[in-house]
Amino acid sequence: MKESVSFAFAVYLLGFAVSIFIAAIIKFILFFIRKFSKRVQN
Amino acid sequence: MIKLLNLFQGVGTLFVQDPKIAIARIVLILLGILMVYLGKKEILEPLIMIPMGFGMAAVNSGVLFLSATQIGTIFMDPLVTNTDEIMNILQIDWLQPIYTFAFSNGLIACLVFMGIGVISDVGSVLKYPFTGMLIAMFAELGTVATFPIAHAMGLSYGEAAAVSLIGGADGPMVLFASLSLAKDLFVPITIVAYLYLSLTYGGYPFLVRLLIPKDLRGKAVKTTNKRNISSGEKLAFDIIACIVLCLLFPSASPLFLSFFLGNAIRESGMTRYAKLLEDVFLYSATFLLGLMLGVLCEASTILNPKILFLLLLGIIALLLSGIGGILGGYIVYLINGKNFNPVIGISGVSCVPTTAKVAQKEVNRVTRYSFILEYAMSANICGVITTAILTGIYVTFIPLM
Repeated sequence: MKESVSFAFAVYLLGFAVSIFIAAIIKFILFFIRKFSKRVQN
Repeated sequence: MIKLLNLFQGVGTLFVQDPKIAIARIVLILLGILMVYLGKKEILEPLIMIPMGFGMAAVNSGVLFLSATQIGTIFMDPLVTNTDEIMNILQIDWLQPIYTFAFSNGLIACLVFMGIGVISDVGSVLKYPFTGMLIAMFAELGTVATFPIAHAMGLSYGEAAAVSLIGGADGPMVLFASLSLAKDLFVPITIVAYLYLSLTYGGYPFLVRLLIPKDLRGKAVKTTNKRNISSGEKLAFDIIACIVLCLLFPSASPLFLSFFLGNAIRESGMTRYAKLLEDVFLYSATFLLGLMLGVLCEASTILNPKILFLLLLGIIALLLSGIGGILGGYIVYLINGKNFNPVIGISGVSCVPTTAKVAQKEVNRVTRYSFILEYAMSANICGVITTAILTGIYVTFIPLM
């Protein structure tokens, strides 16, 4: 039981970390594209 | 009398089978009729329930004597693994080709996922990525908390993971995971998942009303003027997120590819492909999925003592995910200085777009002037992504244990 609880907890933490990483990638993509498109316009 | 029973073998087999199986057949025929009725009344999702009910009723009625010693049907045999036997059965059982070439390898799940990709607008995810992901991860509470409960009830790690994923409220994901982690139980797990997913539309509103006071349910969310997301930005997100997730979890890469490709087709403006995926692939796959699930409900296959556990665990998983989602809504409400509606939390449960609709409907019951659909869709689509991530983690790590 203890092992399965710690495994579930590890799965959750890893899932959380990957989800936040994806959210950070989204912010990075938007930042990068918008900065790049501004430069092209200038 | 014997001649008569041999003539009408569907009835005749009832008298020679184990009484338990004969009774289960009759119960499943009645359950099939009930599913068609509930589908027609739209209490359960008709797109799945009507073909499933018909399949279930027909497969349990159409049992015949295949040989002097063998009783079975000419629908399909999900348990056959020997290649020679499969080649024989492919020529006899009419649904076996679909089962072998599209169901048991997860193709149908991927086609449904492609369709979900086409109908999903990731613009709201790109507008509120952290809020959406935070709520969606809270709404995965059932997906992880059910795992130790299921294991304590005697299920193996693979079976426990597959049944826990019901908490993600995403049918194709449960099908995909149970096919790779719990081959022996994938029929009952997927059936339980689809039965319960149909109930989310009816059940979650009560949970929302129970856990969120009326004045909070009607809270308007002040939105900041965010720039609109262009289709190029959405497309860039699709390709990068797809590559990153495939790099991290190759075992679930078919799911990631299907979802993001579907969305990329939508954002690329390829209307012919988009129509093909939505109108043909998505609906064909959903229809076949319903029919196959019904036909898989053969009494001899489904009579498994673990099914009662699965019924219980499925409801626990969905309940915990709903509670987790609302908790996530409350946390964002506090983080945002009370400028958030906690009802949005329920849409973190990734039943696209059902839970987002539930959230907006519940808000509209209190006030007609609060629109939370954009936030709700963000959390909803983030829920699809987080469920796919958790499926990837389970499918990758369970075989290593």
